[in-house]
Amino acid sequence: MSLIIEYSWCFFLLCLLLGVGYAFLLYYKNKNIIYGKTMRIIMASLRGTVITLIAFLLLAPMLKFLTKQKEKPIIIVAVDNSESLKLGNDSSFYINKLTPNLNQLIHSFGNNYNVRPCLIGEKVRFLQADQPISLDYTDKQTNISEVFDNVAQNYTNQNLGAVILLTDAIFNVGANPFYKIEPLNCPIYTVGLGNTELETDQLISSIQHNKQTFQGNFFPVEVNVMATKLAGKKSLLTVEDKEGNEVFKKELMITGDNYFETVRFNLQAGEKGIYRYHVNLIELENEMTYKNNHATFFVEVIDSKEKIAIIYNSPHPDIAAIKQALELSDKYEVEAVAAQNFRMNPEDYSLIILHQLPSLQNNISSLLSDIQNKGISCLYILGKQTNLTAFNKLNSGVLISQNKTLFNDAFPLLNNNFSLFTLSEDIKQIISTFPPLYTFFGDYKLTVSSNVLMYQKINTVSTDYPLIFFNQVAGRKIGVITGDGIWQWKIHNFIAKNNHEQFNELINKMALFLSVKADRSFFRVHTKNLFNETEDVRFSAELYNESYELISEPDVLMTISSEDGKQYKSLFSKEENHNYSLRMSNLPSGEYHWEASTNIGAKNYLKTGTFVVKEVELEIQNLVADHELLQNIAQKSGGEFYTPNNMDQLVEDIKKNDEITSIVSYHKIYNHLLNSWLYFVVLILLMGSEWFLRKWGGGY
Amino acid sequence: MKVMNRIFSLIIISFLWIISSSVTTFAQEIALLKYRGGGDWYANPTSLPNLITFCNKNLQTTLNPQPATVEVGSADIFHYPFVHMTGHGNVIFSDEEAKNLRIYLMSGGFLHIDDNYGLDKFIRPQMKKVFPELDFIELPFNHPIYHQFYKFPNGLPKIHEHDDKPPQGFGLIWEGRLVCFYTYECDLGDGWEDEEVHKDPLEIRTKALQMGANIIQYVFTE
Repeated sequence: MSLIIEYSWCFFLLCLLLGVGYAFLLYYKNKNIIYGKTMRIIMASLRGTVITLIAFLLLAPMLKFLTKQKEKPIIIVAVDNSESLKLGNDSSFYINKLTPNLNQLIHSFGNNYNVRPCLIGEKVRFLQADQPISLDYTDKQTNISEVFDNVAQNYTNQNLGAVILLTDAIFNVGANPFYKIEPLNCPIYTVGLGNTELETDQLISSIQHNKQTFQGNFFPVEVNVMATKLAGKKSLLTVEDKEGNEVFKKELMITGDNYFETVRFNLQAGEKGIYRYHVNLIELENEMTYKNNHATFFVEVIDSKEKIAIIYNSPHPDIAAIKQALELSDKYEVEAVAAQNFRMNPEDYSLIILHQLPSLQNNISSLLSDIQNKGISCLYILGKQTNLTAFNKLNSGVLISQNKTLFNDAFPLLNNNFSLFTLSEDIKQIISTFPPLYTFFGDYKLTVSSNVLMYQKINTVSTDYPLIFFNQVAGRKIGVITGDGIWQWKIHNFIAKNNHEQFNELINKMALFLSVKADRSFFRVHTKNLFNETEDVRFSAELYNESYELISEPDVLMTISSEDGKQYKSLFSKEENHNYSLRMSNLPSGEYHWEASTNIGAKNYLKTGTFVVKEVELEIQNLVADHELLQNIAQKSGGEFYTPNNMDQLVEDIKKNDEITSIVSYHKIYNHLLNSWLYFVVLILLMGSEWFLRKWGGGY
Repeated sequence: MKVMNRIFSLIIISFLWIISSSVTTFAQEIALLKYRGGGDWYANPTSLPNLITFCNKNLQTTLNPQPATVEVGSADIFHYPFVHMTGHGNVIFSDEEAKNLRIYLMSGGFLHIDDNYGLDKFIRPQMKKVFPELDFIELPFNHPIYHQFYKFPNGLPKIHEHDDKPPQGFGLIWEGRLVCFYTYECDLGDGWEDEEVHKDPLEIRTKALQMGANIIQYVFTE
């Protein structure tokens, strides 16, 4: 502790002078003083001291303290809680012994360490410091690297002493933890759980298949089978569909103790829907577990590809550029046809692109009215050959009037308020550098219902003439590109980026928006149809009133029923933006039917559908622990490797490690002397003694 | 205020009218490739104009009647969706030129090479320089390039006889797209020329123009 003032200590002399002067005037220049010589000296010095001390406060003196702080080392104890541990031969040890052993270990660290236990699995879960660990081995996935990421993020600026990692090191999600240890900058002590010995077992280690296929198509499936210590045995692989019909079978001769075989076969897709297939290996004697002899996979069968027709007045490079962009996404089958050759039914197409049509040569009026009557979405691309008079009659959303047949070079100018679909930042950036399209020079009158994606910028003048816009007329979606030459955008894209990604995305986003039929229902429910067991099942819903404004007053009820007749009922929660949402966690794997219902006014609305929750089988596909990885992690980080049997040694080793110790730090604390009560006690004592002496000496 | 707005938009419109007098009358131009090495890149002066006239008449295209001439290394090449090349002799692409042509073809451009007899041994190594990873492959007769507006079930028409060999159409295919079409032992370009140049009969010349129109249509619509 020390006393400091901001001014020079010479000022203290002034205070002293003041005190001495005051006392001198009071006791030596005062005629009424009656005390003796000694008394007078004592009393004068008391008064002088008080005045000096009070005056000293004017200098704002501060007291400086140093305080000591001890930061205990943090020990992270990360334990594997995944299924793979209880599937091995020594499962009883893990179920009965490991939990108490671990809590004992944590306890034995004592008070000098700050132990933070956490569980490894699908997600890292940190426990409260005093909460005992309780392992149930129910996690369906193992993500070890996430633990390291989490610790690196939250603890590295504290006194992180060590990480103790107890796992079988069979990670099936996330990165290889070996490459994540550097940021931790602390020793990692690893304890190898699980079994490294090859056990007698056969298993389906993985299944490769397409997630989606088209109706009636044959789709390939690859099943990888592994068998250990079963040389010479015969096995049988069967594949059954949902109804239990055998759709494939193959006998397997297990040729060695470390047998691996890839079985390939084709299955035929049926009608639209989600299909579940069971893959089974017959159960052989002495297998460590039969759980991994069975696996399931799901295939979604979808409609055949959507068709898009590009009908043109004359061959033009735009057509090839657009066709190639659309064909790259597997969604569409694209045909380019000259107008005079188009004989198909427009209803076969989810989008019709009309290039420079209607024109003088091809007025296609019957086709146009057919397209309009059947409500087929349309994208018009205007060009020099477009017959403007005929086009203006189409009610596309724009009227273009021309006095003279002239054309403009119109550069694209993105409308930042466009909201029908979102474009990536990359596209937004590149659009402003795209070359111009050739548009009609004239006056453009746009209907209010139009949504403009890009405006025309003519030379340097930004106009409100549309370059690309969309419109909905009586539920039918229409898009218009008011000029030709878009093929130059594709070329430019490649020159700028060495690929066509942005151009392709732009064309495909436009096609996707146009080809999806406008939803006119008042009650809409959105969800996926395939979920993983480890993820939440989510729904969102929207309600509209008669004028298609979003509303959120009515309640929406969801009923989900499982295959075995269990029902889950819940209400959608109402979100801020008038949307409804629903989230359900921990639904067991299986097929579900959902039914969402609500009342808008007096009308009842119902939407139904199905979804599948898919079992996550990662944990049973590999049961051989990887202790080598743990040894490497320990060695590289400066820790040690242990087995569950010599785990007690671990605590001793950490305690012996001089690097893992409390950090003592000192902090300076400043306090005004004015705030110190002791100072005032001294002052009062001084003044009190003087007062007492005065009374005692007979004064007043 | 309204009056001001009116005047302002009038000014804008008249301004736009002035700058729009730089009107592009023809939507696209196609170009003839001018290369170095000594070969006669200018061999058939009337062939491309005749092909353009034929396409504009029969396919309703709006190609500029006068083809442009573009050098292999020029940045202008990117303005043309279709570039034609002919000759009898030596061809040399410098490294820069080969790179420029490669980017042009990958970006979405197209090159039609017509061997006017004798070009073959010069152009093949030069195209290898442009696309070291690609080889010319012969396009089968059912390739869409032979089945556009005009049907050629037996592949390329034979225009001029030289070595008694059948005409062949080869292609360079980059990422699934035909970027270069090479007509060999065919003399297609000669068939596009004015009648008095080679004294070919009308039937042969029409076949040649029809095949040329097919190439244009294929490049523009597939």
